[in-house]
Parts: sequence; structure tokens; C-alpha cells
Amino acid sequence: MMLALYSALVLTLPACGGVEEIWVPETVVEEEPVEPVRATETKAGAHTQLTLTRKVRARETAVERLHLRHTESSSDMSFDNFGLVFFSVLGGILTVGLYFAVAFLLVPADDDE
Amino acid sequence: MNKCPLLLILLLTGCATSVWTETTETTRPVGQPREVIEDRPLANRYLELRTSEEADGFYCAETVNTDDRGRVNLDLLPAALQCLHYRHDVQIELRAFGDNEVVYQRTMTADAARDVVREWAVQAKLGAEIPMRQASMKLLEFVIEAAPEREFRELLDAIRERAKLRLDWE
Repeated sequence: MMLALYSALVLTLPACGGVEEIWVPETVVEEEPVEPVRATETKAGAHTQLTLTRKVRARETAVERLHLRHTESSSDMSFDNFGLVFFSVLGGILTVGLYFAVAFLLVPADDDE
Repeated sequence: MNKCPLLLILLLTGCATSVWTETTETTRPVGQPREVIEDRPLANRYLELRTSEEADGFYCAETVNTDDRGRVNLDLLPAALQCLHYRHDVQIELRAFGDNEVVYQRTMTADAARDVVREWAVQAKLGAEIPMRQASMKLLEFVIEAAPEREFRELLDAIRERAKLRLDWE
């Protein structure tokens, strides 16, 4: 029963994934030069500073772009992480057990004295 | 009792979930397009500043780039030195990389070259470093040797004292 449940769980994990459609607003800008580049000259110390501008025809279109948000689940069981968790829990139990063994069995209680 | 190991495996293993977003080329218009004609800066463009070539093959070339507001600083000292050394007007052109379009050009005359030297000499006397290419430094030496006036030679000397060699990759 448990084996069947576990197998079903592992096998259906990829089916937990899915794709969500998200439409994100953005602006598409297309620029087309209308005139040649114009340079405005100014002095900046010993340097000559130019400011370059150009008259352009800009076409701005508000659009929504499709983004796909993928979600995928899979079993990450491996003997490495299984062993790590298993022995961590075992180590914890042994440590606590050792503490109580030392505290109550090996060290004589002197509360009554 | 047989169920204990299975239960333990179930508890100790998990599932990993990864999420990523894919940007597609699919778009849909949501409004009317807007068309405007306006002046826009030539931002973040690489340009080549180049002087006219001499009979011996000498010319100055420098790569410069504009900032976000389309501004670019030009160092006209190499062109001025070329003008003073070869003793004729030098044509300066600024070309945009890619489309090879000439975006600016001017002629460096002897008077303009002297003005440029004077401005750089003022900067040098104020303590500024003057970055120069090896070829421009050689030209500066030739111009100093050939300079007839003492006053003008002092200006050139001031530049030479504060000159700092710019390496090829700089």
C-alpha cells in the first residue's frame, strides 16, 4: 500500500509542472533618421566638446509580450542526500541519548545529599 | 513493521521545484502607434576621429564614444601639432563606426592650432597631465625644435613637461 502510494507520488511529480502565460507590457520603438547628424560645438577646458543629435521619426507602439513561466517538479532523491539526512537524524538521536545516559546513569545523582 | 522503512524513505526524500521564465517573440498591440519627429542624441556610439593623411603616411586616429546625451570630448592637440609640423591646414573628420557616416568635420588652420596649443599649455601650467600618443610626442619635439618664437616654445615646453604617454590600448 505504502509502496504503491510512494511510486504514484514519484511518477506523478513531473505532472505537477505547468506553463503559465504572462503578458508583459512594453513599448516597441522604431527610429528612422530624417536628417543627417548635427554637431553642436562647445569648449570644455582645452577639450572641444561636441553634442551630436539627429532628427528622427520615432514610432512608438505599446504592445504586450508573451512570457512563459515554466514550473517543473521532480524527485530529488539520491543516496547522497538520503544518507545525509538519515545519518543527521540518527546522529541527533544518539547525541541526545548519550546526554541522558551520561547525565542520569553514569553520573550518580546527589540531589538527596 | 514492514511499513517503517517505506515511511522513512517517504519522509526523508523530497521533490525539487524549478521555475523559469521564457521570453517569446509573440507580441500583441494594445494601443495605437504614436509617431513623433524629434531631435534625439546620438547616444553611446563609437566614432573615429581622424586627421588627413600626409605624404609620408602620417595621420592621427583616435576612437571616441558619445555618452547618453550624445556628448563627446575631442582632443585636438594631435591635429594641431600635425598642422604646425607639416605647415599646412589639416582636415579633421569624425566618422561613426558601422555606417561610416561623417558626423563632423573641420579644418585645423595654423591660427587655430596655436590657440589649441595655448589652451593646453594653460592646463599644463595649472598642473594637469596631458595624455599623448608616442607619435604626437615625437611631433611635439619636432615642433619645439622648429618653433621660431621663444614665447611659443615656452608654451610647448610646458606641454612637454606635463605630457604623459598614452599606450596603444588606452
